[in-house]
Amino acid sequence: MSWDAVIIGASPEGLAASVTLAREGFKVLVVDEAATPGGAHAADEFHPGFTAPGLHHDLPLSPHLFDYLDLGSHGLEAAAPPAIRVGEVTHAGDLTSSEGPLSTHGAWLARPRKFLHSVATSAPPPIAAEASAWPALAKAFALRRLGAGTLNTLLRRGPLSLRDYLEELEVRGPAAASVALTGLAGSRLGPFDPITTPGLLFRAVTAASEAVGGGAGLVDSLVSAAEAAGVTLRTGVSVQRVRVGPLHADGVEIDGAMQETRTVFVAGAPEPLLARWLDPLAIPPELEQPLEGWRARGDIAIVQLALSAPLAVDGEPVARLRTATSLVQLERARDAVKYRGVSEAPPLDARQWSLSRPELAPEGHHVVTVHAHGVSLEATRSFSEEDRAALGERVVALLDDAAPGLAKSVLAQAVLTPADLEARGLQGGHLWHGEITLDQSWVMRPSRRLSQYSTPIPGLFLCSAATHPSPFALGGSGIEAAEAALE
Amino acid sequence: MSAGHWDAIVVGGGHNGLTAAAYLARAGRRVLVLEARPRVGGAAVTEEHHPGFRYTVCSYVVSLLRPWVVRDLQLARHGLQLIPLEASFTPHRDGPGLCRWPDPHATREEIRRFSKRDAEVYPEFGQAMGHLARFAKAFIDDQAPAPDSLHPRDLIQLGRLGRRFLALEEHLLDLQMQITTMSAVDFLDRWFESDALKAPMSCSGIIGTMLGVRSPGTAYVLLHHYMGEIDGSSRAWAFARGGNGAVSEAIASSARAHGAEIRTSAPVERIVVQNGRATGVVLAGSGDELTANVVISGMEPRRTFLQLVGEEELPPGLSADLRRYKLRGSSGKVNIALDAFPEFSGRPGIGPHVMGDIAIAPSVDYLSRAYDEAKYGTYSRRPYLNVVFPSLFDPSMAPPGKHVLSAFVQYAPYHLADGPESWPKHREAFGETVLDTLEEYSPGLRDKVLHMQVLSPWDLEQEFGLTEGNIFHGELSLDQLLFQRPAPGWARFRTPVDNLWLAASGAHPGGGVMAAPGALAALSMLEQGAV
Ligand SMILES: Cc1cc2nc3c(=O)[nH]c(=O)nc-3n(C[C@H](O)[C@H](O)[C@H](O)COP(=O)(O)OP(=O)(O)OC[C@H]3O[C@@H](n4cnc5c(N)ncnc54)[C@H](O)[C@@H]3O)c2cc1C
Repeated sequence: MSWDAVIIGASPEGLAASVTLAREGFKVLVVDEAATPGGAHAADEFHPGFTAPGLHHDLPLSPHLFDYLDLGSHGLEAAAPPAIRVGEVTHAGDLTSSEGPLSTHGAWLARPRKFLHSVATSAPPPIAAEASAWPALAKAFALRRLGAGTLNTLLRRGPLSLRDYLEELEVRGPAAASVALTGLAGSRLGPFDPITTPGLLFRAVTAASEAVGGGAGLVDSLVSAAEAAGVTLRTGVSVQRVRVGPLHADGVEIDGAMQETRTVFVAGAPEPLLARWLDPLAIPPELEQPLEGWRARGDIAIVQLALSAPLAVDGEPVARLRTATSLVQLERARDAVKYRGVSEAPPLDARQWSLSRPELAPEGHHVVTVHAHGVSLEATRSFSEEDRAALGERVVALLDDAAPGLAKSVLAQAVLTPADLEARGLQGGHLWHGEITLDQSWVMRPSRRLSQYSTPIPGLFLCSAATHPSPFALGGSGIEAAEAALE
Repeated sequence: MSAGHWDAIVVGGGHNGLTAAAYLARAGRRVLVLEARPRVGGAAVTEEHHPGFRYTVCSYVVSLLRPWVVRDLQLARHGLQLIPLEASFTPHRDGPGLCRWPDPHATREEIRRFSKRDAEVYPEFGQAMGHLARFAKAFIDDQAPAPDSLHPRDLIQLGRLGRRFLALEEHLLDLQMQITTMSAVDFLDRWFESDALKAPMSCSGIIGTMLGVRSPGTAYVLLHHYMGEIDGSSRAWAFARGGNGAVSEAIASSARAHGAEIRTSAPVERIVVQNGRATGVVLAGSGDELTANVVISGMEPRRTFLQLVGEEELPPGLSADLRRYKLRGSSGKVNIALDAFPEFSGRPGIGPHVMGDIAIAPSVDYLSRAYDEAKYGTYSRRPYLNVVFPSLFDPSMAPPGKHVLSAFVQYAPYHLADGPESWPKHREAFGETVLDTLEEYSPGLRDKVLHMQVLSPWDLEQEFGLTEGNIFHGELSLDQLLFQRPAPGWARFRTPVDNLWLAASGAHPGGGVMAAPGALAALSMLEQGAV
C-alpha cells in the first residue's frame, strides 16, 4: 500500500491532522496501538456500564476545529465548563469571568486577553536567523498595540509566582488554590515558584469553552469527520519502525507490513521515535538532543469512580470539586514530588461527567474521575498492587472529607498511577507527553526547531501534545502540522 | 538652615554610591557623599570585631566588578589588589569531595571520580557558557532596553539586541532560551548526571534569592560564573586584599582624589522635594539641610522613595510597584575568628583546595530541602554555606597562625513564621546551626572558635540598611530585571521626581560588587546634561 501520509497516533492531534490532509486530497492512514482511537482522550469503560470520557479534565478546543475543520457538522459542541466547587467557595469554570471570587483576575485579563488567546492557540513563530522574522515581529507589534500600560503589566506579572500574582490581585483562600491548581497542572512546580503565572494565563484565556462530552466527545466528532474525508483508521496495531529513505521518511512498518508513504506524523508520545522506531544511525543530533533532554515526568494519578449516588456537597451534586483550599497545601504536595515521592494529602480535582452525560453510567448511577496531584512517576514505578489500592483508598477518603458520604457510594474504583499511564503510552505517564513549564512551552515545545512541527528528517512531522498549541487548544497542533506539511 | 550647596549629593556611601560620586567628580562636578555608618562601603566593608581579626563583614568575594570601572577610576593605583581564587571545593563527609581547579585537566580528573561522562562534558559546558556570558555582558554594560518606548534610539537598541541574539550559533540560541527560563537543576540535568557536581554548580543560581535550585529562573545566574574578568584572566572569583572593604576604600580614594567630599556618620533623614523636583537633603540629628542640583540615591529603591522621599511625591502606580517590589532577604552571614585552621576531614591539610571558596552543598536534594524549610518560614536546619578563609589570601586579616572564616549562609529567611522581628531571639540558635553544619565537615572546628559575628537578615537590615535583608537591594528575578528594575518605566536611573536619580543595586543591572549601576547612572546623567 502507498499513502501520502501515515499518522501514528489517533489522538485529537493525529485525527485533526488527518482530516486537514484528507480534505486536501491526501491519502491518509491513521494508526494507533490502542484498541480505540483517542489516546488519552479515548472513552474508557473502567467498570461494566461505567465509562470515563477520557483522562483529561480540561478540554480547551482549537478555534480551527470549528472555523476550519467545521466539526460542528460532525457533532462537536462547545460549552462553558462547569463551575468549580472548592471549600466553601464556587467559582466559574471560565477563568476569565469578571464576576465572583476571581473578578480582579478576570477584569485585568480583559485587556490582554485577545492577544494571549491568539498566542495560546496558534502556531509559535519560528525563531531562527534564516527564518522570516515577520511572524515574531507581528506578535511583538500586537503586544505593543496593547499600549505601554498593559504591556508593562503583562511583562511584569508574567514571570511572577502564582502566589505573588494572586496576592497582587487579592485573590485568596480556596479560590486562589483552585486557579493555582489549574495554572500548575502539567508542571512539577509549586505556587511559590516563579514563572508559574504564564501557565495560568494561557489556560485562563482558553478556558471559556470546552468540548461537550469530554475528550471522547471530541474524538467521536473527529473520527466521524475523518471517515467522511476518506481517512483510513486502524487501531490495535503495532508500529515497528519508521523508515527513512534517501530523501525522506518514506515508510512505516505496521504489524510486519511496510506501508509506503510520503510523510509520517507522530501524533502520540515522541519517545518511541528514538527508542524503537527510528534506526539509531538515522537519528540526527538535532532531533535526538531535544527529545533526550525533554522532561516528561507525570505527577497526577487518576482514580476513576463508579458511584451509586451523585458526588454532592451539602446535598447539591457538583460537576467539579477540588479539595485543596490553600496555596500551602499545593506547595507541600509538590515538595513530595520533588523528592520523587507521593504526597500524603494530594490535592484532588474531581469531575462528575455523568451529570451532563447520564448515558456514561447506568440510570441513577454516576461516573467521577479524580486527578490526584502530587504522585510522582518515580514512586509509582515501583508500586505494588497494595500500594495502588492504598492510594485509591486515600483518595476516596480525602474526597469524602470534602463531600461527606461519597465513600459509601463507591461501587468500584480504578487507579491509574503515572506508571500505569506510562504503560498506556503516555510519555512519562504525563498527560501532555511533557511538562508544561515556560522552557518547554510555545516556541520551545518541544524545542525551538521542533516547535515548527517539521523535523530534521524531511517528511517527518511532530504534532502531539508535546507541541504547541495542543495543551491549550486541542486539535491545534494537528492542524498546524498538516499545514506545515502541505507547504 | 542651609549648610552648603553642591552639584550633586549622593545619599549612601556603598560602593555604588561612591562609584557614581567618583565618575561625577572626575567630570569636574562638586560632589558630596553622605554615609550613615561610620565607615564607607555598605555591604562591601571590612571591620575589626575581635582584636587583630578583620572580617569582610558582608560580601566576601569579587566577581562581577566591571573591569572598565577599575580602569576608569584607576582603582589599582588607589590600592585595589585582586587575588584570584584557586579552587572551588565541595567537601563531603564521607570522602575527599569535589574540587574544581583553574587547570581543566585537574578538574576533569576530580569529576571523573563521580562520572566519566560528566568529566568529558564539563569543558564543553564551560565553553558554551563562556559564549553565552559574552552575549549577556551586552546587557550589564549598557542601560536597560526599553520595550515600551517608541523612541528611535530605543528601537535601534532593541533591534541590535535581537540581531545579536539571532546571530548566536544554533546550539547557543537554544541554550540562551533555556538558560533564561529554566531552573538551575533542570538546566544542569541536560548536561550532567552526577549529583556531586550538579549540587555545587547549581548554588550560584540561588545566592541571595528566596528561590530553590529547582525554581525556574535560577539558571541564568549560572552565567555570572562565566563572566568573570578578574585581572584580565577569566577566573570567576577573586579575593580583594584587605577584604571587600578594600574595594570601597579604593573607590572612595579615587573619588576624593577627583575632589569629592565624603562624610560618614551622616545619616540622611529626608530627601527634600519641592514642586516635583529634588533640591537637597535633610540630615538626621542636626536637621541641617544641604542643597544640590541633583540628589543621587545610593540606597535601595523602596527605602529611597517610601521613606526618604514620601509617597505624596510619587505617581500612584510607582508607589504600588515599590510596595510590591520583592526584597525578601534569604541569607545571613557568619564571620568567625579561629585560634587555628580547621581542616576538612575528607581532605585534610591547608592545601590549595582551601585557597578558594568552599561550598557546603553535598547534593541537590540537600539544597532543595534547605529551601523548603525557608519557604515555610524557618531557617534551614542544614543550610547551604559558602565559606572562604580571608586569612589564607591575606595574612593581615588575622594574627599570625590564626584565621578568619567567612560563611555566607542560606537559607535564613527574613520573613520567619513568627515575624522578622523575632530574629534577635533566634540569632544565637541560627549561629549554632551554622557551627553544627561546619562541624560535620570539619570536626573540631567548634573548639577553635574565638569570636563569632552572626548577621541575620534582620541584622543586615538594621545595621546596613539592606531592606528586608536583601543582599542585592531586590530579588534578581525576571520581573525585576532589565527594564523592570526597580519598576517598569523607571529602569534608567531617572525617577519621576526631577533631579533625583538611582545609582545602587536596586537599579539596572542589579546587585553584587559590580559598580555597574553607580557607573552607568553617573554616565547617563553626564550624557543627558542632568548635572
Ligand atoms: C552577606 C552578604 C554577602 C554578599 N556577598 C557578596 C559577594 O561575595 N560578592 C558580591 O559581588 N556581592 C555580594 N553581596 C552583595 C553586594 O555586597 C551588594 O549587592 C553590594 O555591595 C551593594 O552595594 P550598593 O552600593 O549598591 O549598596 P550598599 O552597599 O547597600 O550601600 C548602601 C549604603 O547606603 C547607606 N545608607 C542607607 N540609608 C542611608 C541614609 N538614610 N543616609 C545615609 N546613608 C544611608 C548604607 O549605610 C550603605 O552604606 C553580598 C551581600 C551581603 C549582604
